[in-house]
Amino acid sequence: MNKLNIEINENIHNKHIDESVAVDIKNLSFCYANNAEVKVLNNVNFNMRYGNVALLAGMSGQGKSTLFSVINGVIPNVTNGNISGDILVDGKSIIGKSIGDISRVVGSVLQNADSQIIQPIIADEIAFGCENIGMLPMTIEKKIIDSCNIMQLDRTHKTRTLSGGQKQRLITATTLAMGQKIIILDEPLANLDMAGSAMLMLSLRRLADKGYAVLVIEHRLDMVIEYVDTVWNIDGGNIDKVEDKSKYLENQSVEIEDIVTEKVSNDILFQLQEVSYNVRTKSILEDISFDICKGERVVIVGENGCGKTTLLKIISRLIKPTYGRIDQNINSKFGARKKGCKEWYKDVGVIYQNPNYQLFMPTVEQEILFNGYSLEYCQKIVDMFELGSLLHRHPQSLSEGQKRKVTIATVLAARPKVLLLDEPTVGQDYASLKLLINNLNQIHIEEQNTMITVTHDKRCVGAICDKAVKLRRGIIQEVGGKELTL
Amino acid sequence: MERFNTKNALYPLLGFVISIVTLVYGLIMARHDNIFYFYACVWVLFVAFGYIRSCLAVIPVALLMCLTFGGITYAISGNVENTVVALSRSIAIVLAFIPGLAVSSTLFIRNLQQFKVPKVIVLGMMVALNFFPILSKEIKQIKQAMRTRGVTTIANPKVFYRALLMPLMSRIVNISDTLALSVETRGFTTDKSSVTIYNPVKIDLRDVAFVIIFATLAVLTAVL
Repeated sequence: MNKLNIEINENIHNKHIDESVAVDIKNLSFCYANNAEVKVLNNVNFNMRYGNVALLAGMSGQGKSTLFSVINGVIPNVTNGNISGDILVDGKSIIGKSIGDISRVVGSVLQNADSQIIQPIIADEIAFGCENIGMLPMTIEKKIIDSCNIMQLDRTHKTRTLSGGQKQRLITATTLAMGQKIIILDEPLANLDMAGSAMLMLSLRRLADKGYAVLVIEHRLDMVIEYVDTVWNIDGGNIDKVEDKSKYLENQSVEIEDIVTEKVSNDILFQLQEVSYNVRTKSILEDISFDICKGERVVIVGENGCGKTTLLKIISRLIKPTYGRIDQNINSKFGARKKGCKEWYKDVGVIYQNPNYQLFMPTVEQEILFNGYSLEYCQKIVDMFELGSLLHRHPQSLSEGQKRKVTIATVLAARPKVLLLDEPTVGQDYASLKLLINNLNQIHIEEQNTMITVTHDKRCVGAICDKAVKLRRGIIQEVGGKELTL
Repeated sequence: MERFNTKNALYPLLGFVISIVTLVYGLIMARHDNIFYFYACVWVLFVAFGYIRSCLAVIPVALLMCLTFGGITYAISGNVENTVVALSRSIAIVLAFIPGLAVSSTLFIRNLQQFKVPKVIVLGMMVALNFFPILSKEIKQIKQAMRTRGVTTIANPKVFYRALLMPLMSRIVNISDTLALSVETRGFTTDKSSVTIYNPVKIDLRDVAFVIIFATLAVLTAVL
């Protein structure tokens, strides 16, 4: 981390940072064209200052991304709606300006880095934005070196083989290279592990210290706590500056308590024996051996790209290990190396990292009933997850956070004996996270199910953990209890 | 196609032009006595210029095409001369693919930008080149997700296609939306604002040498 070498803007003198207003939003109201009655932003006043890192936090679906789109001009250029009020960026109103023009002043890092990469090589991807704004090739070269340093990327790497966290860093690097003084980021930590998050936040902090204005929209407040100057809370279309920052952050990032007190049985459910997985010649997992007991809650932790998701997929029989075997005691008919069949997935519920893949019915109600155990049980799950008001909505029309909740509910409604969760907390605000974790634990107590979770989320990992397995570069570093998750 | 990339490919547009010239020349000269020598020399030339992988890769395709078209021609006409012409044309087509296979998409796109090809077309090509690998990855993910929801067979086609197509459509729309916004917020516009090219592709001596040798071969084939 001490290698960080940020020299992006040579013109700023550290000692005399001018904390003037970078973005000033005055009396802004906005409603989407297809839903004119609901004001997503209601008479909002908001500002960003040079030299500051600002945080915009609040529950899912309250308008955080809407404000983001207003600042970078996506609203009203791409998304239609009624907008009123004034938006001043660097002292000039941006109303009526194109996204291309605004992008020369405001650098935005959008969500879902995965779908944004267009070039095959890292250096070219970083150069793309710089070329568009007519930067000289020599300057581009320097920017590529700088931003690769900051984001710890190898400029010669192929973009297609990067892990989720690396892609996120690459997309952030492409924006940093363009050199705008105002940078806004929409959930930049979503796919980053602890080290990656700290690195990114530290880089942003240093940019701000050099005079940049930075806005981070983020749920994972615990990760951003120490790096921000101002906090804005968004609630029901209103944005307020939070005066008592530490109290607000404390309230939102307290680790969730574990409500499960029972002891785990000693009956072994899964026995992993020297499991390895290779893709061509590259080893993803090597010699993984550990046991999972019946009714145990196992958490798999480790940095980005260490093979957590692959391990979960092997346990859930979506992919077969290259070497080794996993014995299971769910039911003898499933054998040790058979492919996962329909009956298998009735007993083994799998919750995907991206909820979009698992939702396909026309309404949330049908989605939950699709594999539901019984009508009563489905109703119970709906109540637990507070999905009553969404039952008749089309699952694909929901926000990402809501979709994830629905996927978890649909899988739980089938009453599986084993539950495998891949990053179930991404995009969940604190209240939803608390609800989710408490529900998972409540169901665990009632059903005595076995839970295997992959997560980076420090706020909840301790609450769903009896045993922790720590991976590092595809091999087990340590197996232990809750203490490993700290 | 990446696996066919050579480290030292020809200038991208030149590679493209050579492809077309080889094809057209081969088709026109198909009846010429020396044409097979020409093919052999061009193939060796490609190998010498580092296209060994593509050169080897096209051999089975060439055999297959020769067998098919030669076979069909002979079966229909029963004429040996016509069959030889068909073989010759098949080889010309296959040979023309060699520089095409080895062109790096990055360099080709940069090359297009240098020649002021409209940005929308260039971006379209970039996206298209990325799209197929993304699509196949998405379908793989969706198929796994379908199994986790208990949709394992096509026995219930309505549910099967729903479970396959709904997520696929939503993902494609999602990806293209994000991509469009991302390039736009990264300063990409379709108007004629000034754009620089980082690391432009340049013609070097190898390219010139290649053209001279290639042209000499073509002339010799026709004259001798």
